[in-house]
Amino acid sequence: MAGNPDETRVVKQALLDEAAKWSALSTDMTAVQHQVGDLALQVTAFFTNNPITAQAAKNAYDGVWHLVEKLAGEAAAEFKQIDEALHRAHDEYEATDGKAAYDLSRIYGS
Amino acid sequence: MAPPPGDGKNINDAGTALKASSEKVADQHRKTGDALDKLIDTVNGTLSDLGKVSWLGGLGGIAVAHFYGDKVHDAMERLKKAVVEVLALVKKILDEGIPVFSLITRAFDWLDRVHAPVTAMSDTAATYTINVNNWDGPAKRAYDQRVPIQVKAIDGLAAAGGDMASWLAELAAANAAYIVSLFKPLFDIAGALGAAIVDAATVIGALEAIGKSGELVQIAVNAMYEGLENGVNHVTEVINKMVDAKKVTGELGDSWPQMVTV
Repeated sequence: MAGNPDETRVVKQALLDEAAKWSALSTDMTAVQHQVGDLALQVTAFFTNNPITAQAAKNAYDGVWHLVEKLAGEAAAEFKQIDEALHRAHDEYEATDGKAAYDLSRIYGS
Repeated sequence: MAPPPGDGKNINDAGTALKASSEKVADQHRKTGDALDKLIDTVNGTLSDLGKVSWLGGLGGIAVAHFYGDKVHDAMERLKKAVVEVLALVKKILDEGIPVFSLITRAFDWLDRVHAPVTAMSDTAATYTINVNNWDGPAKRAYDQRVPIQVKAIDGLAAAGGDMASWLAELAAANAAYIVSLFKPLFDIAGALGAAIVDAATVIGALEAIGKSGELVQIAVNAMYEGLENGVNHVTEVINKMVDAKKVTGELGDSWPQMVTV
């Protein structure tokens, strides 16, 4: 398989397609992150006739809300890095004509 | 793969319950206020009649009528005070309940903006584009090992969106139950006032009718406070699910798993 020019061409294109998939996922996840940013709730929404309980509910909500927003941002960044890693895999594959067992750290890092 | 996006039925149900409970209690609040006004009018009419009777009865009649009239007046004032206090409490709860509707909006937001789109990402991330399986070697094997970790994190994020929506819906439903617990006592108070209206129309029956109504109102008020306490406890239980059990955050790590560290 490796070394066959047709196969090499197919794999290289597949790597670019797979990279584009992660790039699109990164864009989508960035959109999620932005949308999550609008999901604030006032303490009055957690009305319980008890201000302490209402505040505890808001704190619990805010904790998850901010964590989800942060994780969505980190996910978007990670997906972009996967896109770039697949481009590096593509470039390595092209440089070696699909034959070499190249250094993984050059693609994914340490 | 993440669970399928919820259809929001539980959120719709909670929203419907919240709206229905608020409207039902607001309606009964109005009827109870009307019953109080009507009883006051009736008693005022009776006291006015008593004044006429007293003049017919001479000086002794005036003294008796004043004594009796004062007792009716005082009893009615006490009853009025008790009912007005309850009506003010209910009004406050209804007013404070209005922002609770934002829980419903937010529950749908978590479903639509997080759960649904992130669930869709899970399948995309897990499914290789065509011909990637023709790629082999250590880089491919590393890819095969690392992608599922990303998919799992995506599933966790999608699930958190769904759990948050469910929690908010449950909280809204608990608030609806809390608000609707006001209905029966309010209904009973209106009934007690209504029953007194008939007897309070006669001079003889007024004092006893007001006294009896006052006792019934007190029973209903006690029931209302008991219901409210149960309602608050239920709402607090739902809140504690999130606060203590970390229902949602338990599924998430503190940071996103790193597949690439270059």
